[in-house]
Amino acid sequence: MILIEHLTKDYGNSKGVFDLSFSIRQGEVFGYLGPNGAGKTTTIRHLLGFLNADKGNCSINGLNCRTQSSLIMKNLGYLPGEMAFFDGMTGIRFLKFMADLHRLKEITYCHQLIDMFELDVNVKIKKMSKGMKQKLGIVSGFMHNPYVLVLDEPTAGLDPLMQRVFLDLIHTEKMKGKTILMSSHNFDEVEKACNRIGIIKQGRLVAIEDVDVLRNSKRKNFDVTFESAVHARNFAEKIKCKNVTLKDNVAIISLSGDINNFIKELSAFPIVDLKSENGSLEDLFMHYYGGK
Amino acid sequence: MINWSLFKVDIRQNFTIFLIILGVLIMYLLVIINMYSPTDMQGFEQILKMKMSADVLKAFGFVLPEEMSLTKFISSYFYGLLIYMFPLIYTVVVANRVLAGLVGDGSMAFLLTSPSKRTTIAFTQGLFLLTSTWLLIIILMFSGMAFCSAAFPDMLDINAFLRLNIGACLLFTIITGIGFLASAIFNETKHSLMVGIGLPVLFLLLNMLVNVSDKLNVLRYFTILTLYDAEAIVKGIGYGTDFIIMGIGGIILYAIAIIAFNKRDLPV
Repeated sequence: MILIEHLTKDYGNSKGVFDLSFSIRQGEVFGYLGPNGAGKTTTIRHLLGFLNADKGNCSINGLNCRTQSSLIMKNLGYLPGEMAFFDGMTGIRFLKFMADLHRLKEITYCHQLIDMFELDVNVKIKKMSKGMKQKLGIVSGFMHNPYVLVLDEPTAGLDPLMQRVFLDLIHTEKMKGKTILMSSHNFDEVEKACNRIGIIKQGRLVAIEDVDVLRNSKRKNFDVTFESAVHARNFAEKIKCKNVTLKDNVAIISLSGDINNFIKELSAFPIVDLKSENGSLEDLFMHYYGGK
Repeated sequence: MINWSLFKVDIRQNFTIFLIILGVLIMYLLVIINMYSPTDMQGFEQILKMKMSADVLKAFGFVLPEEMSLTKFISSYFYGLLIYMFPLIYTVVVANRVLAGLVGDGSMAFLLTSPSKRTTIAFTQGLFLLTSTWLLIIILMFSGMAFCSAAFPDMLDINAFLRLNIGACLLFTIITGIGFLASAIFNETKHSLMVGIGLPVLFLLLNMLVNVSDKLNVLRYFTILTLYDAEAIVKGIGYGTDFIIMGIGGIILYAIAIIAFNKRDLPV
């Protein structure tokens, strides 16, 4: 379990994190979102014990992130947001070095991961593409089978196929009861992978919510084309919904939550065409990202 | 306390530069030993003076004593300037690389998210820097001894030569200590390098000024290089305190570096 309490780190110019508090339960996948420079990486650096907090503190499984970091690291996997590796090593040499550092004797899982991501590990890291480096980072973060995973933009640079492989991997890890924090800009991925999301903006948490709740609360848009404008007007009066826009014989209705009532009422009218459009979580996030 | 996996990686990463610097050092030492001629040193001095003025030679520490033994010859032509300059290239590069380099390019993140303590990582890196620099000088020393015993049997004062090299090890304990401390406290390699190169070069320049003019003698207290007085070391008198200062000073710098690295924010 990851616990952050009143964490404050002020870099000036309202950069940093301010009085940040939240916790992530064991077995939970937590999506950590926010615009660039909002403080995601700063939070992560505190969790990994790289930085000293001005105020507050954070702990993982009861261990202080700053002072007991070497104990935490026995069971933590980290994927950095920016991939930087030791120069001149090949992929496999790097992984063996990491396995050494983690005192890992058994590296079958490492090879499984390499196969899973179809990574060519005999290439020098210097010559690897962004995507390959990302895969290498994933393998090195997951290979020692840690309880806690801290992933900074894990799918950056991966092709759509590999993004799916990655989501499957997250799902498997979730089933194993791992605690996962992942930062991301990809709403779709967050919606698929996470149980809960937190949105940070200018160093402060602006929203924290279950993904299921968000999914239910998001709006669905229906474009209904009636036989005539009269029907459209009658229907609009009948469903007593505020979010209706009429345009001749077309009604655009925006709904959140239950749509059964809407369908029932609609069945009584002669309809030419019905289009539905899912409002995405993205719209919701954009609301938090953009607005002051 | 020591992370051997990391130590092994250090060896692999710095092997090439180690060999190059060692090669250059051995070559210079052999060439200089080869120039020695027990009978005709005056002639040699004449030739040198035609190329450079006496003051310039003095600035670089090339001072010919009246009675010229092989050991004195080597000490003034090699253990004046060259023993400082070439290993310095190695130590500056490696000192910067072992901490600041890894922080700067972000690979430190992988070390810090392993179960090693920060102090262990810093200690390992410092140990590599120090022992590899010593090894450089020790191999050089044995090469010099072997070549002398082949070219000029029984003419080298082994004890004095040993003292020269132990002194060089101690000098580089404090010089690498400076580089290591700079590497431990700066986030960017350019700042680490600025201090890591700047100070040792400043020491060298000050030392040159001290050598040239007696009026500038006060400057000797601003350069670590005066602690390594090759002439006194060969004579075997008045070098003990200097050795102790260099050794202890170096260890203190390393200790401060490790503590500072452990405490500070690391933006990786």
